[in-house]
Amino acid sequence: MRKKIIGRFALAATLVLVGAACGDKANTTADKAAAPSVTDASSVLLVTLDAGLKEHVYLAGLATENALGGRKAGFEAAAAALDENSVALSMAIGSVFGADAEKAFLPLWRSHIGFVVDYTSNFGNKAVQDKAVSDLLGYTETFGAFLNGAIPAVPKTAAADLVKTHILTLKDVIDAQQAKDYVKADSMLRTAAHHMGMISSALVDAIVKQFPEKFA
Amino acid sequence: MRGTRTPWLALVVLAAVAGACGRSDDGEPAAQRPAANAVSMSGFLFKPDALSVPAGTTVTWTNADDIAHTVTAGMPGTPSGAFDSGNKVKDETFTHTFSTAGSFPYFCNNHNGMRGEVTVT
Repeated sequence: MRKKIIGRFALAATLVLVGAACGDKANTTADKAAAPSVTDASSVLLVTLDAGLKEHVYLAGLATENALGGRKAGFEAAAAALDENSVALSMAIGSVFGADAEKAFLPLWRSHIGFVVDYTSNFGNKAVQDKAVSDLLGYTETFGAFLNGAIPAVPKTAAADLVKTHILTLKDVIDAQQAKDYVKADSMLRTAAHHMGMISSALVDAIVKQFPEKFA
Repeated sequence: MRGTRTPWLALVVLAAVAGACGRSDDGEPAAQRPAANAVSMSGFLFKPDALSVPAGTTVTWTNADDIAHTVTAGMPGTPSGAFDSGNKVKDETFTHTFSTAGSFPYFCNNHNGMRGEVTVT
């Protein structure tokens, strides 16, 4: 199972690298000279983390859309895939920061998904929804502290702000799904996914500086 | 050689006196508190997450994270009530003396993924 999960991310990273290499052949000589290397460790980490975080958003959107549409089997399948993604992200974290970080990351990451489920499942119960939002906002501080603990160069508040934007952009998706405004929901989903690129870039930039021996 | 023995003896006496006067958070003499029975709350984990101690041992938890954690006996959703530190912020400690034999799981009430266990023999 672990190999299967790692394999999925590795496949994604490989496809990007192969695509970059193949695309390079069609470019001019000037383009080839300017083409960035995508085989170094930092680029692979960026591709892996970026793919994983964006996959998280799309799978979450799929799960919430199925939940709001009353499609239990669809929701359960998406939720299972979302958890596979969570495990893969935890392994990516562990590959950089070690087994302890991997062990701590997974339940923390899963907890915010639980709050999202609480929000999605309670559109008829404002008190429960408000609590879910409160829990999610509290989570931004928690995860900010976790990231800052692992990557001291990323301030706790900055990390919390990145997570908060993730939470709020995903909330926009869910609200639009609930309103059955699918054009808006899908547009918000792209926005939410693109924002994950900001998170992955910020994290990888700091990680590379923190571990120059691994990413030189 | 005779001249060096007395200063060492004085140091041993002084250490014993200082130990008798010192107190832990539980009021027990510091000299009787094993330094090894310490748990760190670090990186959103209890480290070590499994501790085995003889009955009568005082365990000390210290928060090394920049966020509040708790040391709550039981399992998430079903606290046992045996002990609960309440919120402890960075560098704050909590101590509990385990008087009876048994297994005592505990967790952080703010971050349910943080779990540990003390086994008392």
